[in-house]
Amino acid sequence: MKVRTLLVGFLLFFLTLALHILIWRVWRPKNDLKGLLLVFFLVPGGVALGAQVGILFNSLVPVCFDSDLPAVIVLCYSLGLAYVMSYPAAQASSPSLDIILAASKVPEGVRVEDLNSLFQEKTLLAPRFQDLIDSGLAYEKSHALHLTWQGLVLARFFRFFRRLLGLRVGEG
Amino acid sequence: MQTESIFLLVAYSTFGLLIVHILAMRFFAFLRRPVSRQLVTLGCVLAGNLPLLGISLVSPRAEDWLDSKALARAFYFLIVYNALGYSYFHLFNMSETARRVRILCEIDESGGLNSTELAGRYGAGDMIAVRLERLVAIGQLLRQGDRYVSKNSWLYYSALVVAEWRRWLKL
Repeated sequence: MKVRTLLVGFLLFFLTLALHILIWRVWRPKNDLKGLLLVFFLVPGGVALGAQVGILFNSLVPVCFDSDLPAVIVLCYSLGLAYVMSYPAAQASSPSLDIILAASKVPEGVRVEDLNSLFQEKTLLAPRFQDLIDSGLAYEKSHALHLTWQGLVLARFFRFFRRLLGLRVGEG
Repeated sequence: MQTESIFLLVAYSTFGLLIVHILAMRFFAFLRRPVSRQLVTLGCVLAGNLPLLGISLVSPRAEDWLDSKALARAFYFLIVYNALGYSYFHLFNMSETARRVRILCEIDESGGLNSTELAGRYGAGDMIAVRLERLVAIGQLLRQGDRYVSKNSWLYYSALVVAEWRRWLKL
């Protein structure tokens, strides 16, 4: 394997990361997941495909794309996937991370009562309801939330995954 | 790099890891020993590095394992494997801790839920209690009487990075 393959893979990933930061700072998509998939998978895929077409037609293609394109794409997609999987912690404000930060501010430690006042049911659940609707995983009908087919597929996938591991549905 | 090598690498990093994880989870369930499921998952991901490093360095021409191409290949294998392993760890973590996944499963089970019904099944008190239990189990918090003390370990620094990243993305 050429060292160049590694460099191009990293370069492509960091370019998509820069594009993501730019888009999110200027205009954050309502459906975060679709936006992330577009930036981290379609854009590098399109660049790679364009380069491949360019190579086939022997046009002016940067020399860095002259070989190992599948290896470059797999590296870029792996890093992109790792980022996409980390994103919910930033997007949805993770209660575990909030507990850690709250505990770090009080050297003698926090009590459960202090945390109860920090987290209200409204702030813990209502935004997640809205996230599910915005992501097209659920819809509201007669004041109740129902799953769309995508939401149903996701719910069943997680149930199946947990069953494979011999576990009950996660506690959230 | 041959396409077959890449295919095998991706298969090792996904299906291979899943099989090892299933075996590990069922083994600990068989032993009936209380163990942090997140630590077991992390252990499975990290353990996968050793055979991969061995395989990637022992090339068909064993004498050239120190040349730049062999080292680049080993580095490439480790980066791709750990990126996919990290993603797998997050997938498991989502199934274990994510509120959205829990809500999806609750709605799937009941056919439809409003916020009051959901709060009855999944209240803020429960959410905090399970998180405290998990954070103590993975060694991020220390319980001292009725207080929880931060150990300023890796999750604390992750929380700081995430907070900074939120500011960068204007979330």
